[in-house]
Amino acid sequence: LLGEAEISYAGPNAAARARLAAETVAERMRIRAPGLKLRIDAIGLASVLGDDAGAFARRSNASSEDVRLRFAAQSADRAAVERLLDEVEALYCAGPAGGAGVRRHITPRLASASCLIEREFVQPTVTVFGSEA
Amino acid sequence: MTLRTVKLFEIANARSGDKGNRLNIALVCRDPAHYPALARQVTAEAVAAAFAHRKPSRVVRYDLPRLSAFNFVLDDALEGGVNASLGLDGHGKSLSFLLLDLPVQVE
Repeated sequence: LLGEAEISYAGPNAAARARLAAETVAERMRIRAPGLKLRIDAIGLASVLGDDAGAFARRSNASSEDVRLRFAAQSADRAAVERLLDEVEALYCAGPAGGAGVRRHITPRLASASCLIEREFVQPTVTVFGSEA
Repeated sequence: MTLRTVKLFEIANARSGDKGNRLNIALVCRDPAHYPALARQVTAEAVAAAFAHRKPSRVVRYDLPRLSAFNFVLDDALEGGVNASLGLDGHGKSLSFLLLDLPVQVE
């Protein structure tokens, strides 16, 4: 299950408020779901070029007065994923000022991996479904 | 002959995409005259350094001189790839612009 939740900060010190919100949720999740790997992006500062560990974002000198924080985690444990989404939503009342526009959702997904298979184990066939013309 | 420093995006196009957890970036010179300078400077090592935060396990450059182009293949650079990445861009389609941000010296 992929869980994603977003919240926006805009205006003066938006980036600093977003950073504080990110640190708060990360710290609380370390306690509330210790095994859950969390990714946090700041849309408007560094949303796609970065890495899970946040090394790229820490190096970036981008600034913005309109930042959308995005939290993501995946796990087969729905309760752990829900805990993350609840923590983000709780930023409304118990986070940096002006947090707005929370959206949250959980998407089931199946990961795949590329690999090579010995030719002798592969028997390609084609099957056509439906009535013959 | 004077050299000037430009960002790659000023003289080249790039497009990137995925195969599994592998990132693939095509870099194409707009002017074939720039190809030798890019061949010297945009090495696999330079690209590995620019993408170090993605921890690629291997970076290979394939040269296509008749097209004035290069193809870079970065293994294990997509943090799981499109079906497993926690990031927004599991395909790595935005990463062409990380490459195009590199400075190079041209005549």
